Amino acid sequence: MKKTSTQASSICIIGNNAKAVAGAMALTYFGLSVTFYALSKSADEHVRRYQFDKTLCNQWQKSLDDGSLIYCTFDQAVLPSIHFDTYWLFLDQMTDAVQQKLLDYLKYQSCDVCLSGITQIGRIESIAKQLTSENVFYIPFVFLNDASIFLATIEPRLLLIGEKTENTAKNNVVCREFLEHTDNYCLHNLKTIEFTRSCMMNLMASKLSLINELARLADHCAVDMFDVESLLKLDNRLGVGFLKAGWGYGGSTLPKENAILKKHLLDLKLSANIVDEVVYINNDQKELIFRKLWQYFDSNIASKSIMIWGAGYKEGTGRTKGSAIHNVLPLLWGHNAITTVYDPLAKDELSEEYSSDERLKFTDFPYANLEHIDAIIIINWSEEYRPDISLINQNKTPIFDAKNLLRRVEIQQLEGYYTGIGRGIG
Amino acid sequence: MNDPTLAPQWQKLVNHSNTIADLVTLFENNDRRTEDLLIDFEGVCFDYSKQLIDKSTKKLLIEFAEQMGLSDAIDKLVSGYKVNTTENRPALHTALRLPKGASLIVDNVDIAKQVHQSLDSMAIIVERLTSGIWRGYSGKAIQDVVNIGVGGSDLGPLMACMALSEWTGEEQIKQKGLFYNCIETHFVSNMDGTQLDKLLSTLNPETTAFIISSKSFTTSDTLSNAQTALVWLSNSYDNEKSIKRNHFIGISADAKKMDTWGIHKANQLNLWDWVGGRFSMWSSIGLTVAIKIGMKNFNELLAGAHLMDKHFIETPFTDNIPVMMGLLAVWNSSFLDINAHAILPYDGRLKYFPNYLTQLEMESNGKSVNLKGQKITFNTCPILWGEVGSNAQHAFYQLLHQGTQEVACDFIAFINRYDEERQDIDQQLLLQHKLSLANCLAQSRVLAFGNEAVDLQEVCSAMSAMHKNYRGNQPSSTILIDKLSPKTLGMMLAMYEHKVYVMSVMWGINPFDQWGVEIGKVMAKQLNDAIHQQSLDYDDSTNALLKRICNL
Repeated sequence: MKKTSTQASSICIIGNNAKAVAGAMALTYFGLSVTFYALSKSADEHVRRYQFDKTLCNQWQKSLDDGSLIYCTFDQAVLPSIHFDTYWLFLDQMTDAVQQKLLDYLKYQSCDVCLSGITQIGRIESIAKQLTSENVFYIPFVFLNDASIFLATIEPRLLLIGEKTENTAKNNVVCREFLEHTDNYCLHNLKTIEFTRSCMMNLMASKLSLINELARLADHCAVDMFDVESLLKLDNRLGVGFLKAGWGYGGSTLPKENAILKKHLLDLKLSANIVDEVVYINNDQKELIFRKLWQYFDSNIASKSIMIWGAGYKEGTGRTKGSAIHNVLPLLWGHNAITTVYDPLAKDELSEEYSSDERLKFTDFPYANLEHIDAIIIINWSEEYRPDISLINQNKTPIFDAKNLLRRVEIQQLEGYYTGIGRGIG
Repeated sequence: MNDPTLAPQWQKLVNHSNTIADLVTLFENNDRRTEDLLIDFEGVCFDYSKQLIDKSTKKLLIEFAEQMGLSDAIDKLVSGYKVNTTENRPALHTALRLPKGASLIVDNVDIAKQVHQSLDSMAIIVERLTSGIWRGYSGKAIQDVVNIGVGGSDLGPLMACMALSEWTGEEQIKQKGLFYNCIETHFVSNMDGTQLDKLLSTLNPETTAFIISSKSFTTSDTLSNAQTALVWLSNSYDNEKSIKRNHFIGISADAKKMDTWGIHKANQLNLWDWVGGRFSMWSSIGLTVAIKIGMKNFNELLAGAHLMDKHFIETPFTDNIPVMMGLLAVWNSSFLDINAHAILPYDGRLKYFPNYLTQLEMESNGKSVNLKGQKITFNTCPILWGEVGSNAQHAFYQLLHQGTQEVACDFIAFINRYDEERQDIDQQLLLQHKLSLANCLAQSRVLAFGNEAVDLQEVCSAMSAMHKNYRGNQPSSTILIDKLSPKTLGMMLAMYEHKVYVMSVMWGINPFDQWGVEIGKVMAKQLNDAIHQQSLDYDDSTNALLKRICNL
């Protein structure tokens, strides 16, 4: 719910990623004014990457137009001449040198400091100790379960805030705004929030990797993980999320959380067995659909024409970081298969990623030239409409469903070959 | 000239061998022996001052080499002349390491161009395997590659993989923006299946590929292992065509036989009949090495060998390492009657190097008939063996120091080990390396000087007890190399290849054939039939053994 409030203090955001942009947009949406310093690329660069997130882009433009957002590129030389009541630092992608420079500047300031980012447990607390201000807060973005990073930020489903000093978050302008826009929050000391963040993210990753491992068994037992998923949801001890088998998880958050936790454990000479296996299964899962295609064609995929639906790492996004597309494309190309990708949201990012590769071709229509397509691989689907089975059936095109997009009734309507991940079929 | 005994210098050398002093005296007479009897070349130091020679010997040997036409022989070797006279072929292993852009025309064919085409084909396979693109029947990336080969198709690659185990192709793959898929390499050569049986129990058929390396593609050891591998894979996936397409690579000079076996055309790498098996590691036979260390490092290995080739071709004999090595070997064997040669590397990475040299030297020069088909009347190749030096100290050094056999030794060591720039360098490892170097120097010293090498008190006590007496006077060379790398390994291997050739020229024999191994193969086939058919048609000893094998 948007709330208009009089700006009580000045806010400076320093960061380089989409979360920093989303944080800034949330605050302007709440009626505050923000000065945003982008670290290397301009903030425009990030907004451009999130063009598919219309609400984010609209809020960005609106904030620029109404003057609630001032942005510029961060220059360390400018530091001594600026002073804000609250600094919100986004530590991801911030180099150690820049971090230290900022901390050295803020050390003796009386301002409030908010910190966000995925760091090793204890890092935030250690930063807070370097600052003389008692008003230091940690806001991990654990609420990003929406394709729109902006919508997820303005109405966080779960808000965790770490406080250096107990009972001070509600006095901080940034924390207060977020607290007023959620019904589900928890305040605790910094390290406990850091630990909880890492726990949450790694638990989600582990859960999904276990589901995917079980999905391989389901294929051999002719059990459909769709059915299993709906039954699992009946047990409220298990939670309803991360139960859907598929090609695994992508994005930047979960893989980074895995890596940081593993490093932390190994640095302390503790075993990281489960994290290792979670990561191994997730990485292996991304090429599982390729292996099914390979076996289907008895390893003869040279010159086969493959349509790929979806490249984004989750529904509704055009971001492809960690997506199975980056495993599948090189493998298909390595065996001289011909590929066509359908994903309007991810097209720009993919084009940039494989800029000089002529093998990357796009289509604006998922059923284009199906009569010449030997197989469809489904990695992501962000359309509001369901796939048209009748069009697929015109050529009985085999479907390799890495996302487990198709429902049982749709699969039953298919006349050609179908396999998914743990669907017990194919 | 084929009979060296007819060369004027031969008799002079015979006479001279009766007058040569012992090593203690030789060093006492000239305390700057290394000025004449040590060669430095590109980080390789060849110290032969502990050989039983003096300046006169060296002069006589060089004159002998000139009389035997060594210069001309070297030119013929590298230019494609059919130096392998009994098989009417050239021996162009030096062509295998010519740099890109070089040209060598033999019988109207540009050999160098063919070599580089082959290297390009190798590079494609190496990249497909080490970037994870190459997939097995189930679609999983290959994780293990087994080299099935014997003799030259095994010993060289095995030795090089062990020596260069710290090198990988990871950097080169990652620079291309590809994911690096680390491949474990394995070697199987035994005919009896022991190695393969043990290895297969540890491997996953979905992710294992086999390289069948056989110049003729008829070697029974290799083909029997290949068949066992095929059966093992077929037990997991009943589609032989798919298995052969995705799990087998063939390397041979006989493409037709590879076709017949079922090696997919795209997985065939060709050899040429002008590459001898024991000289073939530089060719596609070295594929497993390239997979292990990466193509860039494999090319460094070739470059090192080429550097030594140029040294061999261009350098006057007196400063020419392989020439002097070869002449010394002839001196020891044919004139000093030293019929044993020990190879003693003081570095565990060269664990398989002595084994590799047993084939290179003894299969090349284990001959008793000269180029004209005449029986030879002098000693040729000595018995060669070896072991990592520090281990050998606890094994056969007793024989070297106090046995009745005279043995010439090659000590090999690397000055630098354990990169001192690494922050996490374990100081203890450095100490161990220096300890090993000290042992290397100590042993050659004691072998050379015997009692004279130790201090007076110990000598006095030794003299009173004959069983503690060190007679010394065992000749040795020390090869001291700056640091082991693909380049220096290449230099060292080429050095020994050329040494072998020099020896063969001096003896007037063909080092490139191996007719002595042929009859054994024929006989083995007959006896294999006899075992299966339970027939006893041989000498009494063989029949007695057959009875027991066949349970008759």
